[in-house]
Amino acid sequence: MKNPESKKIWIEKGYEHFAFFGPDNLSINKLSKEIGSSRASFYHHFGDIEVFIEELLDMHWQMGQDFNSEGIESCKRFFPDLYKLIEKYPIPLQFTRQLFLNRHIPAFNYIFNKMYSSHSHSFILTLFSEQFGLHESKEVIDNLWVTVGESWYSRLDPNNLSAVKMQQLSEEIMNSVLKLMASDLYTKMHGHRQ
Amino acid sequence: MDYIDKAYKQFAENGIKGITQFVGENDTVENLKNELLSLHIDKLDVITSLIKKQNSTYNNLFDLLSAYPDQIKFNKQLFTHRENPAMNLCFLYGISAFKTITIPLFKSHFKLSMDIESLDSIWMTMVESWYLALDINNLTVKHMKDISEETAEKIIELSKY
Repeated sequence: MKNPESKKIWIEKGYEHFAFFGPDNLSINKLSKEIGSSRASFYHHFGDIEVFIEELLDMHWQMGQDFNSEGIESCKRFFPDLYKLIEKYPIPLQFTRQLFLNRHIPAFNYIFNKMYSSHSHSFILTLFSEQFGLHESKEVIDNLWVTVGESWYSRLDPNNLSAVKMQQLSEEIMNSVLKLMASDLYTKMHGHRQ
Repeated sequence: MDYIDKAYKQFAENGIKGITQFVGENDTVENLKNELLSLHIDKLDVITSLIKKQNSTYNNLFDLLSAYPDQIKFNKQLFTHRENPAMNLCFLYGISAFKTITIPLFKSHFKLSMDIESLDSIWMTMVESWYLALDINNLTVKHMKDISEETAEKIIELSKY
């Protein structure tokens, strides 16, 4: 009979490994040693690594919903509240970073996009617009926030995920984005959308 | 051919490194890049209005696109350098401009029935995976259609999330 506790332990440890070492280094052997369970237990619960990864993605999606609920409740301002909240979710953040780095795999890219969009529309876009006094259309603000995210995840240092450091990175990127928003190029893009 | 058109073509083929030869003595690569992005927006607008006029189907979108190889290559350069805010915003401009036409065609071609938010994420993933699979040395209608069908097959399965 399947033991739900044992399945849960596999998923939790697998989630951490995916987050820290990436999908290419997800090893049933390593996980098995670390949790003190046999490979047979893995195959008993999941059958193969693809099903296991699907479980990890499901868990990540659930974590994302928890993040949204806490964000709606606790984030009143973009700086510093959002980054203090992200700091409380270091493993999901690293997991998301791995999805971002491995976006050539459609499932990872899709979950990355869907999760980013879900966070944005739950609470982040409102805070982002208020912080920077943005009055553009929802779609334009969405594109600006995606632009910040692309740059932020590509420069994020996994060895320093403090709220201060993450906010600092966001501020640096926003400075470039704000400069861009003051440019003729942006005016043209924005004007053409009207 | 005007120097700006030559620079556009070079950027499309080789990215930023391709345009350094076109930077004037008193100018910067950054300025030239912005000038090219601005030109690209004009070109995208032309394609968008053509697609709107043509009552396209999902399949004949690729017939139309195949007439604009430089623009497709340019867009792939933007896609590859999305960490650069100006390039990313320009790439997203293209997606936003096209999506009011392309998403309904995509939805109908693949007989999809998910909610709009999921459809948006599916489409975004579809576009990104398409650019990733795109071989810029083979911009034939067949290649563009084939990678679209292969990509869609993988991505539509994901709508359960």
